[in-house]
Amino acid sequence: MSQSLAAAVLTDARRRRVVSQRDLAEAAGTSQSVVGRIEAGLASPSVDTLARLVHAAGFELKLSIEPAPVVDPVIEAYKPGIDQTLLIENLRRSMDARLSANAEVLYFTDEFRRALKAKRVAEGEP
Amino acid sequence: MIQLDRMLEVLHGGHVEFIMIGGMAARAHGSARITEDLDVVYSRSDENVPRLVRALAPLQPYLRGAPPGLPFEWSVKSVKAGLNFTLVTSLGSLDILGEVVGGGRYEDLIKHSESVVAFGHPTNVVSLPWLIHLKRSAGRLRDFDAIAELELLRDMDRSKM
Repeated sequence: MSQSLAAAVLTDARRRRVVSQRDLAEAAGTSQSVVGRIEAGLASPSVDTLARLVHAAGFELKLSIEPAPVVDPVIEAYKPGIDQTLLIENLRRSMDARLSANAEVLYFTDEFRRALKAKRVAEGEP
Repeated sequence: MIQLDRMLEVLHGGHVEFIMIGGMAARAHGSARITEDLDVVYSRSDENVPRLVRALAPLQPYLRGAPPGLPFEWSVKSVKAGLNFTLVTSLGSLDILGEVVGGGRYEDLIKHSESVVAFGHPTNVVSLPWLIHLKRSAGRLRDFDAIAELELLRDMDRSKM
């Protein structure tokens, strides 16, 4: 496992548990220097070792695959045209609020469509 | 047009196992695009298909875009005989997918989903990296703009870390 990844995972687990390197090392049956070297990115532990340390912090180490970011020049060409302020606004909302906003827009869109259709009927348009 | 709150109520009320994907999942992850339909990957287990059929039956599902009067029967048999269905219901457009390109079936994709509370219901939504992957795998020209937006959202999310 890469040193930087192991460092990030172990530091995250230990800080979430709010334990010192020494206490974590003791709980995992190892030394503080081992924990310190991994967190400093100076050692690349085996998956088993990292799992043991993470478990001592009260967590379970799970491995999964994630799609690797792909740089596609066509996709990149679209990015400058996207209004990021709308994205930033959306990211400030909860997921629930984002979906609710979508539902509200659909509701008003539907109302406008209905109103437009009624107007056309009233004006005798087909 | 989809009445999302009521559709989620129907699916959850019927204990249907599903994962939200597509435009509504993009919306949940922060997309500014408004989407008019709901796409879900459903479990094709022997327990879930009858639940899906029972839950949606009152909404009179019919094949979207198909001429009226086709001999389409909304039943466990029909769902088991098919895989992916684009439906129109009394609550709006709903795509139910047994399998998606790049993501596989429900059992494959659930590992790459997160549970969020939507309209009061804990709902499985495909993760942002996997949503991008699914859109890329679909290979549709009309998705390029959406993929670009999702990648920007992913990069914004990473920059917070």
